[in-house]
Amino acid sequence: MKNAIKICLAAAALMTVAGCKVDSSEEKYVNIVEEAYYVYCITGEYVLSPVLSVLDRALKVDMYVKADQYGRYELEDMYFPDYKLRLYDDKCVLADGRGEFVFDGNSILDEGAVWECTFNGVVAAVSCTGQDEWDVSVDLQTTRLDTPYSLNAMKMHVALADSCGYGHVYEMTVEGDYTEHTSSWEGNTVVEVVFSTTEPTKAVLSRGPLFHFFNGGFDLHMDISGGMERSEDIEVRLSPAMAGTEVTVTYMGETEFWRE
Amino acid sequence: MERRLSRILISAVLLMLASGSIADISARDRNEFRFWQGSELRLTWGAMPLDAVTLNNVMAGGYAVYGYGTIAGEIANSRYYGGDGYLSGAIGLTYTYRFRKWFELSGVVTYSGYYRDYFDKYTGNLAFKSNDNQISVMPYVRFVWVHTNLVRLYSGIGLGVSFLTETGQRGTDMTLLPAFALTPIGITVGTFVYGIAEVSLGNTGMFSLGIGYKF
Repeated sequence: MKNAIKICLAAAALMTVAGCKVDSSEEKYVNIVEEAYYVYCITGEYVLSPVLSVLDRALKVDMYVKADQYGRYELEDMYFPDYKLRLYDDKCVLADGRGEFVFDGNSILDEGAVWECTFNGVVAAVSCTGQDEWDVSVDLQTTRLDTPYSLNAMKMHVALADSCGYGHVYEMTVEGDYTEHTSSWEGNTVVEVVFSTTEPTKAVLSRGPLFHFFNGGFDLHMDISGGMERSEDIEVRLSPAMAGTEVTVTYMGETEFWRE
Repeated sequence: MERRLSRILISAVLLMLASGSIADISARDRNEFRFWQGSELRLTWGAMPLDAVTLNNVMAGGYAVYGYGTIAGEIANSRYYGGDGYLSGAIGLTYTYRFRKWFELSGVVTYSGYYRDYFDKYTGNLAFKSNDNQISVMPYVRFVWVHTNLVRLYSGIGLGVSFLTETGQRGTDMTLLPAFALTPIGITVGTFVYGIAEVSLGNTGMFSLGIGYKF
């Protein structure tokens, strides 16, 4: 009987320690700065790219207006392959309703020209302030960014830095703020992000409608309310790398790098 | 062939050593098989049970970043990280009654659990515990097709129900599920106190080891 008790105890001890470890600690994967990088990505994708696209499209429409018939075919294939362009005396309309560019009788390259533009939900007045320089003034009342983002304020000044085969390279100075409204099981969460360029920052159309930002930087401030209050500063620096751009993000006292 | 035989022999010897019943065995006459109706208790541990606790957690995804599409979703999703996660395997307690030398009827209770702590990534403090527990109860019939005083070889089948509780950050969910065990082959070595090794499919584990007591 003593033997049996010993065996039972030994078996119980074996079972206790023989539990299988199936998941390792994820501590080594935790990167707090990653969420700040994500805020920067969201800002670029959902706020800056749609607004900058308005100017980019306006410049391409201007080229289209000035081109002869064969040149227009070429421009349509190159810049508007998914749209049908309808040209009227005072405006150019993208036939699927995603864009409208109303002229003031001048080329958008002429200093003083102001075009009322609508593209992918962004309504803005593009005004030429000098040679290859424009202000983009967003109509905050009628502009609709992709859900769940809404623009509260924005001032954007853009200069044409370069033009090459794959499009224009812009140099942009911008400041503004936007809000993200979401609801989850934890409740309604509101994220307000204030952003500004720390220096003129370059941008080029990269993937579809999205711009790649390089050589410059942003200061962002994020305020979260509802469920998980946070108020944090984010510093983003964009510098040239061997290939692409090195994105240096500083957040909560830590700095990390990403390659884009 | 010789290597295989020697491995089987070594395994059998180890099993007998584990059961601690060598003295018990050696005291008996091995040539004369004696059957008597009576009861048995078994305590087993099975690796890789085919149950919800194991399947959910072995196949679970890792620490999530990106993909939620919103800043709030991203921050909420990556807020906590998991520590080491453990599966208990299937711990089983079986009562058996021997009706015939070839037929035994059992009641099996198994427990299977998963345990993991989650930590706040900003502070490193424990945020919440995630525990899944599954208790299965099933009647189980066993057919003994080799029976000597020392060794029994058998097959068996059981069908029952199991109760699953999953506790995490958002509270506890409870679910009732079917439970089963299909044992193509099992072996016991020993007479009164014996060691057990089984290959099964179901809630008792794919490979089980244990000890039993005949009375």
